[in-house]
Amino acid sequence: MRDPFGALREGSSAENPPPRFVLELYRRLEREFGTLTPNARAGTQPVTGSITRVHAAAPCLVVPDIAAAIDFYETAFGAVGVERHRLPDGSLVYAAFRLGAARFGVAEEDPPWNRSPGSLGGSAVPIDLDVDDADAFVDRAVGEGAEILIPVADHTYGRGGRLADPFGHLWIVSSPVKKTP
Amino acid sequence: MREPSATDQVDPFHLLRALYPEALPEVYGYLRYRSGDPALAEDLAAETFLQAARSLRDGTVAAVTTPWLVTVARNKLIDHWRRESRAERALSPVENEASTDDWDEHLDAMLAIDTLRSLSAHHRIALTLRYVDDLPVAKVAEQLDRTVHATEALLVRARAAFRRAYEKKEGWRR
Repeated sequence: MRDPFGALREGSSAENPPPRFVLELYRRLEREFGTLTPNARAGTQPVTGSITRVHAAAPCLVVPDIAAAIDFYETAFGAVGVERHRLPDGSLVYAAFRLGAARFGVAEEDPPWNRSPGSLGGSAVPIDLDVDDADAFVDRAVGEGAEILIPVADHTYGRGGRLADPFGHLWIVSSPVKKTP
Repeated sequence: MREPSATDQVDPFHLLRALYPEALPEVYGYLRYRSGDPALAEDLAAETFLQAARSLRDGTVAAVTTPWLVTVARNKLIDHWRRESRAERALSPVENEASTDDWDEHLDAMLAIDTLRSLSAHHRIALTLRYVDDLPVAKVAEQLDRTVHATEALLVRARAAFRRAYEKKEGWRR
């Protein structure tokens, strides 16, 4: 015999709440509990339909001399210039680079909007670079004027070290641990 | 350079954040369908996620999953209905026993859930657990803190109340 009460299950399914509620609750959870996990920020997008998808994030490095910076990043890092912006008077103010799969920009110092590490007294944002050979990368960068802050050595997560470039930006250069022959 | 230790764990709250887009519609849909009340569904869904975050923070659970969240939501809904039930009990009329053993009608799903939402809270709780959530009678008994026998008797009365209310609604509609 058919069980008529089976009809009660038919309409039960997932259902999107109003986007306003999705955001409110997400923010409340972040506010009350999110500070427990400062390392987890980069994880996920909240919810489809309420916040648009993010495609990319890239730093823009402020430097006191953009021509010298373009030269350094191309020669020392092997960055490939993909875009340059000039003012009407022809002066260069911004350049965008590809570096492997990553993208970064370089902008000429322009207080109060853009301040370089030199005028701020240091950089608060080290940038991770994953490379095939940390030793070779660092050697070449030093030859072009970078300064070694921490020499390349083996660590649990790989082989790497830390550089300051001639404009004060910090780079953590890492590669897989070398196999000992 | 400080090195991360090899035993670093993925933060559990990170997992809740990752689960949120998929789990919230499940939890909200669960509550909204059973209660028919979007505002109540929002309140109880919020309580469900806040409780999950507290449990993770306090370490009373190691990780949460969507089925776990839905179970928490179910408990919150049943608790809410129980408070309603206590208020109703004083004025609940004596019900005629009517059997549904021979009831072979194919129910309209929309009318059926409307009927369920309109029943008194103790009948609504029993039928929701048994038929909407599809729990076996023993689980329903556990949830209600009753014996299996008492639960079966409650279900008989609840089904009869449902049938009376359904046929009444159907009569109006025809």
